[in-house]
Amino acid sequence: MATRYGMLIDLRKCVGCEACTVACKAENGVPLGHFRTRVETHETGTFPKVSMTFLPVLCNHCDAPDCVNVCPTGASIKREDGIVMVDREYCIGCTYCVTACTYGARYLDEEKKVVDKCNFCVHRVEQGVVPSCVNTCVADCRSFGDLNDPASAISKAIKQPGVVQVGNTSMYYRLPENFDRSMLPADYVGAAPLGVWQNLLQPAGKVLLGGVVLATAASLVANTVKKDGKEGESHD
Amino acid sequence: MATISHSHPVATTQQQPRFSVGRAIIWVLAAVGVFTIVWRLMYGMGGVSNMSNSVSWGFWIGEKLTGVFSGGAAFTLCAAIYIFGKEEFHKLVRPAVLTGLLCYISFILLLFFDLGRPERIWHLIIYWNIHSPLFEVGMCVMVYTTVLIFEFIPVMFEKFGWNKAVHAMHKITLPLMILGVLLSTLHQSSLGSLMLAEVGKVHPLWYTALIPPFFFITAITGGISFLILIETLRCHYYKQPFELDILSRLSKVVPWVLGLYLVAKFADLAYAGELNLLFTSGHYSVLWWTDLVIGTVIPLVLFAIPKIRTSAKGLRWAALFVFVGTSLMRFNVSLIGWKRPEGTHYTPHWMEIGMGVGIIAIMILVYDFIVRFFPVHPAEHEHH
Repeated sequence: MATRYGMLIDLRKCVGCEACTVACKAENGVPLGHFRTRVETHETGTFPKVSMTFLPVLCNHCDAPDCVNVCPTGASIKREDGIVMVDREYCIGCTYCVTACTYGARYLDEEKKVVDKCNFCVHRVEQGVVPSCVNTCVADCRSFGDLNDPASAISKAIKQPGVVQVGNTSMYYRLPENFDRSMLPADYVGAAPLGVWQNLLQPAGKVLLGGVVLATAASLVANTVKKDGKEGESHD
Repeated sequence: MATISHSHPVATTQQQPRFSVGRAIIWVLAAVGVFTIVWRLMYGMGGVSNMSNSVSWGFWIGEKLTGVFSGGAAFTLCAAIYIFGKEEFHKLVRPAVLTGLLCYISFILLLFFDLGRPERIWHLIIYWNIHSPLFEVGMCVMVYTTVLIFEFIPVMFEKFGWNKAVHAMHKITLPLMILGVLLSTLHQSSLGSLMLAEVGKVHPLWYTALIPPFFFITAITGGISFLILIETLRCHYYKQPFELDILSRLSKVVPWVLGLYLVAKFADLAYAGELNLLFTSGHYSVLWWTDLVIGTVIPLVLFAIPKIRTSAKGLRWAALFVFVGTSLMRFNVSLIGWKRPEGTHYTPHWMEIGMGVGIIAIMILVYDFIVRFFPVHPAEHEHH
């Protein structure tokens, strides 16, 4: 079966050191003010029983993301192995995908003037190494690997109790007891009306357009052939 | 009919421009526009805008959407004349096409400077993602602007007395006009589907699968209204007769379209079970009612009363309401009516507004130049 990469973050282990954030910035040259992965802090419970949980977030690499759909030049792609990434050579920096992303995972790189995002460190993964954030995590709370390979570490890890998938994405979290699902990034739901318009109605319009263009071209040819003497009928 | 008076160049009757305060202001605004464009090219978008990743489409997106619906009269008139055979509107084709053309050019300029990498705008032509509404908008606008140029170019030929070229152009007029109408139908609505991707961001009051048809039908009314306003100004400044009769007849369709829009707006919310949002969404509700009352309810009444519609003053006021309301609706859907993460603040940078207004000022100067030197005015080409 084809490879499909995914990530699990074990929130029971995370200590909130933000080493992943730093490693990612260093590895990918993420410019000042932008992050491909961040660590959010959530407080739960009521006094005196309170606790703090850290929640690392990044691109969830959705199964059928709108950010890829809306890209006018096809610079945003969903690879066969599940990685969602931007081809900087194609991107024109319109930031449509930035507005379309549900999770705020994309940013406009002011230096390169194109959109960029987490790509699971595709340059490392292609060399057979795990992404930088996974590699650097002090608490070993991030696992990365092939979800379609039952023998892989991540396939086993996501079978642990307390693991929750962010729906329709490649992300999994292992929740601590005090943490509830609603605090995680929401399940991915694309913009259904967009699909209806773009895949059904607009193509129908284009077929109509093509038909009319052909018909007018045909009538133009016909009119040109029998022209002269009838020219007065034209308008401006 | 065949004896079109193209044999000699048609004289333009306008006087040379005289100094006036209004003209001076336009020139200053145009200079501000040029300055901000240069600044933007030198220091990048961060230098001229307050946009960020949470507000990566700012003031310019609202202005772009406004600009495109303002050009809607060109396709509306062409549809009326060439598809529905309403020959009486012929006199307005040139002003409408010129207005449309300049609106679209301002859209293209704004889009160009809004890109992170403007020099790569040609990627739209080479690398296609046919599923993207923005791709569709880009392609349609590109082709349609070319069509508008072709529709307008006979006016230039006429001025220079190139009769053969004029006759050659006349042969392709009909297909060209119909192509223009179809392209407009496609992209006026795809500007709406642009916003369909913003689920969860555009407030549910505006977010609906019907945004594309809403954009399309308000482009008809908004375009006609903008044409009325432009004609008012043009006839005032160049001391020419205001074509009240034709414009009133053209506006007959407006109350019907606005009525359809009004019913559809409420029906759509009722269908989604969101009617309660109309009164419970705080400032979003206020914005929703404002754009609906100004842009639809008031002008619906004004346009529907024949006495008001056939008076120059009434027609202009009604058109102003539609234009302001429809512009507000575009800004609501694309910018103001968005639910943003807490702590997101966005106020347009003065240079963002400066560029937006400056580009409009430049278009006004171009319009002024063309109107003074080319036979745009209806009275100047009475060959029908």
